Amino acid sequence: MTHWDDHAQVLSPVGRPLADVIADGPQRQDLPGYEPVYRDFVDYIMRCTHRIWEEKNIGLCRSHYADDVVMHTLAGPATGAETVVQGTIGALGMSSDRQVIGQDVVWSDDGDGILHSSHRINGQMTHMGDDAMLGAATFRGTGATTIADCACYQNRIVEEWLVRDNWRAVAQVGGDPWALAQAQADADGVGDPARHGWRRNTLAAVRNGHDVAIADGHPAAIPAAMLTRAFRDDLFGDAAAALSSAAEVRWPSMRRGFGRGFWIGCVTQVRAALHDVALTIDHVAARPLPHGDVAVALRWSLAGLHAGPGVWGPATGRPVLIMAISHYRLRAEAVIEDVTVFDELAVLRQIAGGLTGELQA
Amino acid sequence: MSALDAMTAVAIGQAPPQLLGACRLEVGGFDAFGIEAIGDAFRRDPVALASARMVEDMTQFAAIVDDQAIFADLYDGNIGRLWRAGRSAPHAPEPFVAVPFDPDLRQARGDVEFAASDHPGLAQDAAALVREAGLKILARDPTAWRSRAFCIRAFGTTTRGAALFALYRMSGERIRASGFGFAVAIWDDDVVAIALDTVPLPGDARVRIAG
Repeated sequence: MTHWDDHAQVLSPVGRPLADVIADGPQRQDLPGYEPVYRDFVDYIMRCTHRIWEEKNIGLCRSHYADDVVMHTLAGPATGAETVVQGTIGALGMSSDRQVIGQDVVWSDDGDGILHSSHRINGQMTHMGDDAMLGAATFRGTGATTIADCACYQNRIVEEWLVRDNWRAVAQVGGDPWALAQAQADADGVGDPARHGWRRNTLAAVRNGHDVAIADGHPAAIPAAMLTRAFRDDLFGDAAAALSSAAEVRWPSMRRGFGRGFWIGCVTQVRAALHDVALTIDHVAARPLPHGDVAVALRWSLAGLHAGPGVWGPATGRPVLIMAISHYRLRAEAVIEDVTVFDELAVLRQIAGGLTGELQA
Repeated sequence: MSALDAMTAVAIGQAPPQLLGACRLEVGGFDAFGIEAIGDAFRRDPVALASARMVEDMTQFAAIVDDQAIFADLYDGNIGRLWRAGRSAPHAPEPFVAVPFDPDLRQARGDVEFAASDHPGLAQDAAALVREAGLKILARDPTAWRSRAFCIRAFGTTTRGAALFALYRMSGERIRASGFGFAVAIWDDDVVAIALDTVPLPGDARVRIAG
């Protein structure tokens, strides 16, 4: 394991053209087991994404994902490299002009040869083919934010946590996210409910879980404390003091605003709907940014009961699981940007009784 | 190509190599992400920067032409983010989930939110100019029930500099529409130029998310 700001020669992609990030050249970082084309871990993430998505060499997933990889999403886990291959082909069949534009890669050396990346992406595409989630082709543009957390070992992603702003993606093509979530929930009720056992297990894991250890002096301690003060202590004002008074806040489903009050508004909107909340901080990473800023990536989970009316409609009493990833920009130890992504469409699916809507977590 | 040359090209809808693929333009409540979307937005409504009042440093660029402004984040001359104030969106704004919030967190209502530590490129003694510019911007919108200016970018000295504000406005109508826009101020000696969004508040784009 290394310190969060070791390997200063491995630069963030922020402020750099893709051609510069993936320019051929000598190694900048020792990457045992990785293809020699990858000069450093940021290059690995950015370049393999480019090769797979834009160059359409989807078969590279077979050499970049472990055979038994588990990809966690709020709609359920997907297992195996072949599942990733098929899913990627399907996605490109729907939106063949997709550009997977990397905004940042916040990475960490987690020890035992595991390098962990948190890759924030904006996928620009045209909805030019029929799709299970977005429906019949509309030829509208979409561009929702995705954050992919990947644990990597010797050129292969061995586990992935994927969050995408799917509510926004559906809204962008003129769809009705609530109607879609209800349809998904109805479909969840058909067939063997055991396939949704992962959700019950994950809810229990969050309720019984512990936060990942954060090293003394690690920048992630600041936003981690912010989240725990808000979701565990309900001290929203104290929590928001970690933000600059003019901080930029970008939360899912086009929640866009500025200032501590707006951040509190985003948090309390969720907290008001969910009672008996449990929070875990699941992973943290940080890397230097240009101009002396610091990027922090923080993956967190929330379990609660939908017992309060509000943003998600009348209370249903159903358990709700949220898997979120936040990317923060810190300056002078204050949070000046918070980009948080979770799949609110999948939250609505749970509210609608989907993924087996058992009444107790 | 200098940053000015690159910005001049971007402002008429061209895509110079300095325009980063991950650049986002915000204009009139609309997000244009990426080279194609930004090019499209400026081609629909180009602006000539030749007569603009401009100021730049190593990390930021600001220009005001008549009643509109462009502000940019720069990284070694590359353009990483863009804002345009004083213009309407090239397309209808996206649906969004409205967030109920208190912009002030106190009974003494605020006006300009500004943290000097957010702006390392701003001379310490220029902070008062930023606050004055924010107050002038708020004074341009006397019809709002509530308006607040959040300073999100600022650079320069007491003699020359610029600031970008996110503007929060709530209307004084019986039904209080609200939303964010942007404003830019450039000061050059004693002259302070201002351009700000005056587009209608996006009350019709919000959606009820469920139920």
